[in-house]
This record gives sequence, structure tokens and C-alpha cells, in this order.
Amino acid sequence: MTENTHLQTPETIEYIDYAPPSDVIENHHGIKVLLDVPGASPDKLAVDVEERILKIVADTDIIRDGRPVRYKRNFQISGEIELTKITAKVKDGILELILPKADSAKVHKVKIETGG
Amino acid sequence: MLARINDNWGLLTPWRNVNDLQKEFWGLFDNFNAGLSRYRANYPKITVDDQEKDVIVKMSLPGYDASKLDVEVVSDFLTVRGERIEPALEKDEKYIHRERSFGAFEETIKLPSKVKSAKTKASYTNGMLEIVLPKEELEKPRSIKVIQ
Repeated sequence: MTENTHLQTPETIEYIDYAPPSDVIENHHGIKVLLDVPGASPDKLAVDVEERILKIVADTDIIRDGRPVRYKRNFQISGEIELTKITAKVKDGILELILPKADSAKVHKVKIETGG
Repeated sequence: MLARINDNWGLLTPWRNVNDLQKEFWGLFDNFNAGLSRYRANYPKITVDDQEKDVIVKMSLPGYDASKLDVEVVSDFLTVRGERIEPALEKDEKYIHRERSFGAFEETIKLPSKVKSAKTKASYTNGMLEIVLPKEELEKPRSIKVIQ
């Protein structure tokens, strides 16, 4: 009987992607985005901005039909937003993104702060 | 008042068919508003994991006050109640887009087996409520001596 061994690399994991429900609020300073991401741990959360698209990906431990659930959502950002000043905070399964108004359009990695 | 609900009585529950309830749980993560009887969007997504020694129930409850969640266990029923309060907007704030729902919910779940209510543990992490309910041991068969 031949042995069949193969390593499962991250690219071969089949996720169930789920777009988290989100609210978008506007104020004088800019935009606030609130996303429901229950089950996503802060260290497995990625918020990136590329070509004026805000990309959110968060892994969870939730398994459905043998596949892990992953939160995934993209938002288009207007030219008014200062991309380098975007901040993110996550607490009790809610991710809060603050997008302040200004200019610039570079690729920028956002640091996540945890709130407990 | 929660009378004894077994599978035969499923249709008598006014708010949902208990048989369908078990089926619906597994479909919840695929569809935000899954199931006709779970149309109210502020109802949490639930998974019920029937393991060998425990039943593990997980509910997605982002942004809830854990101290105000009400978890009740009796026999093979679990009831969870809670409320998510919508945060008030500042004076200069307005919604551009709204999807998240707020409000109160109450869920009663029939568990796959009887559990030890006194040993049930609940924890709230990253917006997920996890309830571990150790199963009640099955009564051991008892031999009855026949007297002639």
C-alpha cells in the first residue's frame, strides 16, 4: 500500500469567506467603519490599504462543514482620506476603523491596536 | 412557560418548529438572514457541537456586555438572553451605511442530551459566547431480580 503524504500549505486551505456586517459613519474628521467580527482574534486580523481599497481579512477558529470561517471585506476609499493616518481597534468582536480626511495614495500597512 | 418539548410536540411551539431548529443551526454562517424563523437580524448565529463528554454551544455576540448576558440551563434546554445597545452618534456624525442590528434577543435551544446544569461554564471572548455543558451520565442498566 503506497503512503500518501502531502503538506497542507496555507494556500490550499479552503476557507468559507464571510463578509462581516458593517456600519459606515461620517463626521467632520472623516469616516468611521464598524464591523462585526465575532470570533476573530486580534493577532489574526489584517487591515491593509492598496490602491485606495481598504482590505480586511480576519481568521477565526469557527469551523463550518470542516472548513474554517474567515471574515473578508473590501471598501473603496475616497480621495479625501489620508491613508497613512488610518487606525484600527478591535474589542469584543467589533473592529473599528478610523479613516481621517486628507490626501495621499500610497500602499500602507495598518497596525492593529487591541482594546481587551 | 416552557412545557416539556419533545420531538413529537415540535409543531405546538408557537415561535418555531423545534425539529427545524436543529437543522437551521448548521446553516447559519452561510447566510446572514438564514431561516424564515430567524429573520430578525439581531439574533445571534449559533453552533451546537455534540461531543462525547460535553455539548459546546457557541453564539456570536459582538459588542455585548458580558455581565448582562443571561444564560440559563435546565434539563436539556439552554436559554440565552441579551441585548446590544446601539451606541449614540455624536452631534456631527451621521450614518452613510447601516447593516448591523441592535436590540434584545432570547434563544432557547434544545440540546442533544441532558446536561449537568451545575457544572455548566460560560465564557465570553472576542465577541463569542462559549458555553460548555457537561453531559449527564446515562443511567446504567439495572438488573431486576425476578421472584418466583
